[in-house]
Order: sequence, then C-alpha cells, then structure tokens
Amino acid sequence: MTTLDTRPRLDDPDLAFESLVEAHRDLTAEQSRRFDARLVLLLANHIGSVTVLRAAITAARATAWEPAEAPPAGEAAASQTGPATMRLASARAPRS
Amino acid sequence: MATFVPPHYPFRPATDDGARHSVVVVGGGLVGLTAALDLAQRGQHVVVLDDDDTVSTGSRAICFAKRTLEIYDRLGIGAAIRDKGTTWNTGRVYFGEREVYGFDLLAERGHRNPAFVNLQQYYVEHWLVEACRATGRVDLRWKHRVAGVANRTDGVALTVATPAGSYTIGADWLLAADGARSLVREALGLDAVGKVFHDRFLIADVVMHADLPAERRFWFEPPFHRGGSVLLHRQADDVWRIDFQLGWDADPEAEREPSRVEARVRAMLGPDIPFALEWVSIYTFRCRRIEKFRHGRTIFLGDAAHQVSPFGARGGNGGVQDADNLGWKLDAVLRGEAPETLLDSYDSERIPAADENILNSTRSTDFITPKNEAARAYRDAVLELAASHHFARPLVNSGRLSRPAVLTGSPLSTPDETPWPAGAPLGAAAPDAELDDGYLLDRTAANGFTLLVFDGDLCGAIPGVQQVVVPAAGMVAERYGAGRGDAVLLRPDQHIAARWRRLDPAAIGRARDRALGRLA
Ligand SMILES: Cc1cc2nc3c(=O)[nH]c(=O)nc-3n(C[C@H](O)[C@H](O)[C@H](O)COP(=O)(O)OP(=O)(O)OC[C@H]3O[C@@H](n4cnc5c(N)ncnc54)[C@H](O)[C@@H]3O)c2cc1C
Repeated sequence: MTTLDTRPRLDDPDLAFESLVEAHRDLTAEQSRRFDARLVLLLANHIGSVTVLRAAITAARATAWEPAEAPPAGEAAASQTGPATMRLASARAPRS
Repeated sequence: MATFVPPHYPFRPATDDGARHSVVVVGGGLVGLTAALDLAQRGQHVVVLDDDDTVSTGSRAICFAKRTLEIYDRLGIGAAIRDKGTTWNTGRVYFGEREVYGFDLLAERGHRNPAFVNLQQYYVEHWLVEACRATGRVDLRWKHRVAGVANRTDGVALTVATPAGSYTIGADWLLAADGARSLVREALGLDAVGKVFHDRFLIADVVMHADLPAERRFWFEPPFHRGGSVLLHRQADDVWRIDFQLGWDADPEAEREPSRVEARVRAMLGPDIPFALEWVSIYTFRCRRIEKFRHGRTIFLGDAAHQVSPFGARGGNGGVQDADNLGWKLDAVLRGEAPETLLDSYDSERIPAADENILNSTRSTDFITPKNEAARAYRDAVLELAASHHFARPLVNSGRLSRPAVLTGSPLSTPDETPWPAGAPLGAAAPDAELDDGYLLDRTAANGFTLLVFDGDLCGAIPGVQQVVVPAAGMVAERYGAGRGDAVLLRPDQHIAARWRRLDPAAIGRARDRALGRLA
C-alpha cells in the first residue's frame, strides 16, 4: 500500500477512541507527548511506508482547526463549511 | 604527559618572487596535503602554502573510514594508519541509566581495510608531509600565509605573507584547501550557505589506561551528564576522545577551564581511573557549503568548500574523497590528455556528495540536539522503544557513519548497455576483494584506468588502460555482479566508469574518452 486509506476502517470506533484517551490517564503533559510519539512510531512502522506516513502527516496538518483569531487561511477556508467561529487552517507543504 | 610531540617544520623565505607555478595548494591540512601527494605521485610539481609550521593542533578528526584508508593505501600511507590506529566495529547506545542496544558494523570479509580506524589527525598529517617530501615534487612552504588572491581567466595571482616579508607568485591552478575559515573563499566573495546548530560541544582528548573495549559509545542524557549527550571513542596511545554536549547557553570560556573539564570527566569515569587532559576545545557546528567548488582556475576542497558537524565523521573523510576525485582529473588536464572542461565534473560529482554528507550530518545533529519539545519527545520515544523493539534501532541517529560517494548519473560514466542487476552500481568506488595473492585494489593502475577482465582473454593494448584478469567466480565476481567474459572499467580514482558483457576494445576506448571528458 502506498496510498493513505482514509475510508472508515475501524471495526469498533468507540472502543478505539476510548482506548486512546484511556491510555493517557495519569500522564503529565510531557509524558503524554512522549507516549503519543511512541504510539505513532509503532504504528508508522506497522504501516511500513514512508509515503503513506507522509500522506498522513499532510492530511493531519491540513485538517487542523484553529481559533477564529488566527489570521485568515485563504481560499481553502472559504469553501469549507464548519462552525462559525472556527476556520480551517490552510494546508502547509510538508517539509522536504 | 604529551603522547605526541608536534613536529615544527622549518620556515624558509621564498626565493621565487614573481614566479609562476603550475599548481599551488593553499592549506597544508589533511585535505591540501592529500591533494598535493596525489598530484605529486602522478608526476606533477606542487607548491603548498601553509600559514602554520606544524600539523593539526589537537586531534580533531579521529575516525578514518574505509574509503579514506583505501585512498591512503593508494598513496602509500594506509599501512601506517592501520598499524598505529585502533580498529573498531562495535558501537553502543545508552539512554539515561540503560544500555539501549549495541551494533556491529558487520564488516564484510575480504577487504584489506576495516570499516573504521581511529587515529589522531596529526599522525595522518605528519605522514602525509613525509610522503609529500619523499616524492621530491612537493615544495612545502611553512609560515607562508596567503593574504591576497586574484582569480583570473588564465591563472591566479597570490600575495603571500611570511616572517621574512611578502611576495607574489602566480599559479596556473589554485587548489583552495585552507579550511573552514578559508581566506580564498572570502577573497573571491563566496558565501558558504547552510545552517549553524545552536549548541556547544566540549571536545576533550583524555589520556588514560582504561580497561574498556575499542568501541564507539554514545550516551543520551546519562546520569553523569544530565541534559546532554556524551560520545566516547578510543584513539592511539591510550588517548580517548570524549565529546560532551553542553547546550547553547554554556559559557565557552568557563567550560574550557581544566578543573571544570576534569570534573565532567571524573563524573563519567568514576573515582578510580587516573586520567590526564591532553587537549580541550569548544565547538559550535555548522553544515554548509559554497554553491560551486570550481571557479575557473581556483578549485575548492575540504572544509573550505563544505563543512559538516562531526557526527558521522564525514568532514575529513569527505575532503579526502574531494582530493581523490580532483587529482587524476587535474593531472590529465595538465598532461594535455583531457580538456579543461573535465574539471567541471568535479562539481557535478562532489557537490552531490557534499550534499549527502550535509544531509546526513544535519539529521544526526538534529537528533542529538532536538529543535523543540516535539522533536525531543520523538527522539526520546525512539530511544525508549529501541531498548525492546528492533524496529526502532534504525531510527536512532547518533551519527550516520561516512560512506563513499556513489557517483550516480555522473557525466563521466558510460550507461550500461545491458541490465546489470547485481553487484556495485555504476559510479561506485570499486569494492575491494581478496585474491589468491593479495587484494584487488592493490592491482589497480598507479596512474591510469584499470580494466578488470573476468576470466577472459585480454584485448590488444588500449592506451591508458591497464588490463587485469580476475576470477569469474567467487568474491570478486560477486561484488561486481560479473561473470565469465565480462569487463569493468575503473577510473584512476577507482570508481566504476563502465562495464560490459563482452570485450570490445573500441567501446572501452570510448568509455575511457568519455571519463576523460573528451567526448562532448
Ligand atoms: C572535534 C572534531 C572532530 C572531527 N572528527 C572527524 C572525524 O572523526 N573524521 C573526519 O573525517 N573528520 C572529522 N572532523 C573534521 C576534520 O577535522 C576536517 O574536515 C578536516 O580537518 C578538514 O581538512 P582541511 O584540510 O579541509 O582543513 P584543515 O584541516 O582545517 O586545514 C586547513 C589548513 O589551511 C591552513 N590555512 C588556513 N588559512 C590559510 C592561509 N590564508 N594561508 C595558508 N594556509 C592557510 C591552516 O593552517 C590549515 O593547515 C572533525 C572535526 C572536529 C573539529
């Protein structure tokens, strides 16, 4: 697989979400960040493709919602429908 | 308790004011001396100007990579380096209190040289000086500082300052190997572009009789040096290299104080091992290069052309490959066997190599000095995982050790006419191999091309090409992906220029001409 599959694929989405949140219980902000990093690394290795990883990074960056006071995000935001007070940040090019 | 007494080479006033020389090298450091020796062994007369009268102060480079050792075998000082230096194959990585993993450089059998030999830079420079002298063709001028450079279309005019006054000389060709703070670079108005890492490193050479194995040890955040990394390497003469990462806010003057350094080393070694400091310095590292290395008749090599951080040992090893690449080309131009445009291939081959070194050492430095909290979290996560999961070990980056450049897409290479699926790729440095009576690389031509013929009949004489028959089975054949009747053409710097599944003298002659830049 060299393309990012973003169709709904999880057999039990609620359990997946609960597990991710639960895993952070009792962790400080710093511990949480490092935990997430370990998790991402394990999953990235499981996926086994830097191309897919980079596509996921791009997709994750492109879908960040930022507070309304952030500077206007350009045309990308205009075509989106979202909560009135939120705006979609423009996708940034991945680092080369 | 100095382990090495630096030689002081005599100053001699110039007696040739106004003279013109064919090749002048500025900088008698590791790379300038290598270039001078290479050219002299090919028969050229070379003037070397150095502003100092001795070898490298402090050991600086310690890790000499296999390719550098092969080049130094060709130049005749490889055995001395192997005999004096420390061969190592293992590395160990620690994080906090724990060992994360150990690695083996898995040296392949049947090479004369190991992956690395550790030796203080000053020994290598000293032997280069002696070898230069032995040629009788290198005019080494100590305490001759280049103070002015005028780069003209047909040569270069130099103003040289000495204790006995200034003089001028001309050079048909100027090799600028005057190091990281190159005056020639400045005189030509060239910028080295890249980045500075906001970190400081304390580099100490310590003499101690420690019962430790010869291996590379790298600690991230060890208990004896919280908040930084530490690197330990063994050198010759019971000298050990220790690098302490200090952070950007460290005060370089205070950190250089011997008592302060001793306290750091003592914390690391524990109370029982006696030691003495031999050399201490504080560095901030840079990764950068000038845009082009050839500027008409002035050609840049080594740190004057490009700089990297030392993680990966790519500075000196990269510079030696510059000299290896340039020597035979300039020699061919000076003999009238190749057009001047051949020297443009120095840029097209060595700039990608410099970029590869810069990329690798930048990534290592970014791993060792995380740029922000997220980077630190990922770095630490990799280290935590690596202790128990093999998959994370290749992500640990405490230095990606120097490898020879593969001259992919070089204009001097003749593309394969038939698929060549196995063995070293076109443009690679020729792999060594053990033969019944020695090593393959020792059989390559001293000055010229070499044709490896795999168990075939030699063709008639091809000017400038020495033919060597090698077995079509076993180690050599495997390393070149070759079989009976195949032929591989090596350049004078031992890189693979062309190869065939047949022996056709006309094709071989064309490939040689192409590698000499004779075909437009
Ligand atoms: C702490 C440390 C560790 C390192 N470890 C390694 C390693 O393990 N392996 C490795 O391969 N590399 C290593 N390096 C890098 C290596 O030391 C350099 O890349 C190498 O010395 C570059 O050689 P050079 O000849 O280009 O420059 P230099 O060795 O700096 O030589 C330049 C010469 O030019 C002379 N000069 C300067 N200006 C003038 C002038 N105007 N006129 C006349 N002469 C002049 C100087 O006196 C000097 O002799 C390390 C560097 C450091 C600092």
